[in-house]
Amino acid sequence: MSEQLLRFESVTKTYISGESRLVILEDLDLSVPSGTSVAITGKSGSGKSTLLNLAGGLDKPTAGSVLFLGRNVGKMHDKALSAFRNRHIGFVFQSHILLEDFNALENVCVPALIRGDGRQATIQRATQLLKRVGLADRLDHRPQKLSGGERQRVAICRALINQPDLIIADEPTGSLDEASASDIETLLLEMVKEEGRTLLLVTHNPLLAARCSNVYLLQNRQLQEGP
Amino acid sequence: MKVSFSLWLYGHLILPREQTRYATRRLLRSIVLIAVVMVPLVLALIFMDGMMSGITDKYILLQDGHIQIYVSPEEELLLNDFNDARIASADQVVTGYGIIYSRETTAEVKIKGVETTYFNEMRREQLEFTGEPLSQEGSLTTVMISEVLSKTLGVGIGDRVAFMIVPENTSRTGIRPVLAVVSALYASGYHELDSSLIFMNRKDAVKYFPQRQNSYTELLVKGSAVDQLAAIIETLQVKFAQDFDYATWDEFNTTVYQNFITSRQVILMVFLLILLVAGVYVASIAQELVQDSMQAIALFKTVGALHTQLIASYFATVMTVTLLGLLCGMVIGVLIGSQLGVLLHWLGSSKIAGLQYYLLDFPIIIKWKDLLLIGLSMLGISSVTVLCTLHRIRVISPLEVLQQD
Amino acid sequence: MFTLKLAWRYAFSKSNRHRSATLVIMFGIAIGMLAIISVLALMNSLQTELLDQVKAIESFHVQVTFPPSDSSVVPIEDYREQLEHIEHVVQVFPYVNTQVMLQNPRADRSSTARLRVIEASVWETENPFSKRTLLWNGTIPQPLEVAISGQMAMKIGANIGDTLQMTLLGAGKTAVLAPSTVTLTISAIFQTGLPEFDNSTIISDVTPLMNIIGPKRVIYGLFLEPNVINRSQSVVSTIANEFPEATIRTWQQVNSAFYSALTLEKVMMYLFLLFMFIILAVNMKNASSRLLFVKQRELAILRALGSPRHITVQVFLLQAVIITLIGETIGIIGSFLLGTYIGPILSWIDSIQSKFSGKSNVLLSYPFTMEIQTGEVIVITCIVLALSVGFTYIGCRHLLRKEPMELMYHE
Repeated sequence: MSEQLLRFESVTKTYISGESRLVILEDLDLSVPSGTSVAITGKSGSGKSTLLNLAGGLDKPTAGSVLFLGRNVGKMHDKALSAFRNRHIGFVFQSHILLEDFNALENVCVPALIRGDGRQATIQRATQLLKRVGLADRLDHRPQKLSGGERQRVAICRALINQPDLIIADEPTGSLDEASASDIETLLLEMVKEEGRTLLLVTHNPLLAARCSNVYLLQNRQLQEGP
Repeated sequence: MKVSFSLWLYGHLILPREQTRYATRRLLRSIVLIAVVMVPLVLALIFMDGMMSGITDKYILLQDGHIQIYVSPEEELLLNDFNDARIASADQVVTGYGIIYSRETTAEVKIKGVETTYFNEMRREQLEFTGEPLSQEGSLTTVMISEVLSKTLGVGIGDRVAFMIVPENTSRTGIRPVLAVVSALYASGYHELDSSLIFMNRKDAVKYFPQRQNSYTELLVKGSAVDQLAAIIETLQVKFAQDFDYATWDEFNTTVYQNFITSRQVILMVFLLILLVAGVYVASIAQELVQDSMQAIALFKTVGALHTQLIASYFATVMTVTLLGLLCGMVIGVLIGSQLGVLLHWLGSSKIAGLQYYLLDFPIIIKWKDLLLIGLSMLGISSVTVLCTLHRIRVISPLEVLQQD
Repeated sequence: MFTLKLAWRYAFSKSNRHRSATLVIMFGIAIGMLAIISVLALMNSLQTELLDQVKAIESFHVQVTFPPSDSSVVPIEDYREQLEHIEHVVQVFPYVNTQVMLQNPRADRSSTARLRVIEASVWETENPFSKRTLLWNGTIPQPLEVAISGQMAMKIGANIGDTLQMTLLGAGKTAVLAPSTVTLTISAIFQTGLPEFDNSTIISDVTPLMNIIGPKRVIYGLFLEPNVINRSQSVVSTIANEFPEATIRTWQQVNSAFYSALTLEKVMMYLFLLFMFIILAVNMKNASSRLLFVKQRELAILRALGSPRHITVQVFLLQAVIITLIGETIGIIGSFLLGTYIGPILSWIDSIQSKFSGKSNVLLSYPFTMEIQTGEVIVITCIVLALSVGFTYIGCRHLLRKEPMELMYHE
């Protein structure tokens, strides 16, 4: 049995706004084995993004534990959490969120520079990744000069540069047309597999979900297996 | 190794490439504005330091000297007697007070009896003469008065004036006025001094002020030795093997000296207030940078950057801009300040009455220590305000990058 | 109201990411106002105190002199009586100032001095001079008596009761000025607080010195009602009408150079400090253009919904007005608080600095007061407001000229 990379144990997430109290997740359990791809589906507003934020250490649970390789992410202090995200997590957002003032190569290099890797080695790896996704001739192009699909490819490379254990993708093809979306989905899954990473993915696309090893439906603040 | 990310980010912030003209313009605008703040501060400082130094020089060179050593008129001490490279000149002087009067009015004056050699090069730089100083004409005592006094008394060169002199002892009753003729006029440019100082030949002054306390040797020291007066006096006491009475220039003019110090402190306090406001402006530069980079900062944090790394980069960027503005402003201020004499000359020839209280003809000196103080104060205040502003980076959550629908 | 509401929202709404810019600018304006008002108030206070001293002790409010020919003919009392009847004139004191030589035989010391010969009523009646002059010891000088200052007493080693030989220049038979020697007894030691006066002036009664000096040099010093001291033109005109040959000088004219110097200093300080606001105004310009950039879609929708262009302009200008007024209010309140507590604040700073320097600082231990002039505050407030609004308009006028659809698609 492969190692449990990520575990949610009775995780509850509540938002309090003034007098009102909004429960997003309640007593949620989830196990993500290492080397697998897990898809989370559900209606808009069901809490999928919240679940991803908790997994990536971007947010802390109100109750319960989020364990990454046995370590409680919710109890880490800021410095440890930053290091955790830098080394173990790669994010791919729906709207790619590239740095507008940096070119494609620089955008990919950012996590590695934060980790403190050597400049030359970082550039080399970033170039390799960008070549892999077919952007060899776009290294010095800034995001304004890239199409939506190209930007998302850059985002994927950025997510992979530090060879993180877990890739978290939140609707990675949500803002792309069908053709581009299909390409990106394939690329993402292939690269994750090639690199031997684990993928935690939120999507509305049932076809994409079906290509993952596990699919969960988030409904009524709980996870259920299957679409 | 982690420093490299901060440096890399700093490099991108400080040298925006072809990204947007706005970012480049913003940095340049900030540098220009900070420079614009610094220019008047530097000019004011140059003016203040120059004027105070000029007034001090007037008092020292024309009225009191750096050191006064009290000896009786018979004990003439000449420059050679001192044999000290720090001493520029030594002159025997006799001084006293009196009332000068013409047909129309009177004025209280300090009378200084000197030799013609008294007006050496250093002193001549402080004065403009009309007529021949201390030239003897007939048997009458000759005096050199200021142009200010000549206007007050309504007399000119060749005219006669009378004195009542403070007598050497009070046993004399029925003071007889002393007649004198004006042989020359002088102007030092400083009204306060000119209105009460007159010169006469030392041999005449000795007649009127024969007492020991009226006679002394006036020493001028070289510029490099101005801070060594105490040491010079000690050397002299050892050399002459006696404890003679002496006084230094700041003791003669305690009020003037204290006024200078107080004025200077007031001006520096005003500077501090201006730098405080400038510091707020510098903080707004930081605030703008952060605001424009909110999403980028959130993303950096998402991928693991520490807020200390980010704060370091932004802090270094803003302080670099501040430093560049500071240096530009100082350079421009010094360049303009070095030409301040032209403006002051024009002001001096205007008829603004209040200007008589100021000295407008002085050598421009630039005290680098004062400039450094202002620069460091600006950097210090800006550092504090910028750090307070960059605190914002700590509270930017990575979640802000997501902006979920 | 909608415009005001929108302006307020733009300035302070939490959802507005420029709230922090607003707060920084407001803080800058507050600090700037505090600085400029406080410094000018301190200058006002110092200058007012100084000028009040000069007016009360040295020059009076108005000085009137008559031609020598008239002075010899008309008795001093006649002129005095006529001047006292002029509207707004409270008191008239004829006096003479002259240079004298003083000798103290007892201490064998001498000095020059300025003698003021004035009648004893200047000490006895209530007037600005008597209010400010302290007779430390002794009695008001009577004929052939003199009051000297503490500084003068030290200079000539004199005490109350000592006899002084005083040589003064009076009208001579053959010469215009001829010396005369008079013996006077010191009856009092005084202090006025005006250093130049105290260092040099002695005061004696008119009899018999006025006769020695002669009536031609008599000056009539007038004290006026408080409300006309600084606006004495009406009094001057009345005197000029009644005495066409007289020379009339207000205290400003008598002390023209000094007054001019004080005015010059104040103007320079004004310019210097107002300069700070140029920086803040540029800041506001940037902030408003940035805000406009962020809000352009919202404004475009408003325009598309029929809101006229001037409403948009009003919103931004109102925003500047709100920020500036609040900043100014905070600054003004701060100035008043500082004015109330300036003594304790400076003492506290002095106590801290003395721990390092080992001695008290002359400046910090001075008993400062602050005289905040309402007129000045209003002028400064208006100038700052005008700068803010002007620069805000400059910052956003380009985008404001665009049409709604342009704004909608503007990148």
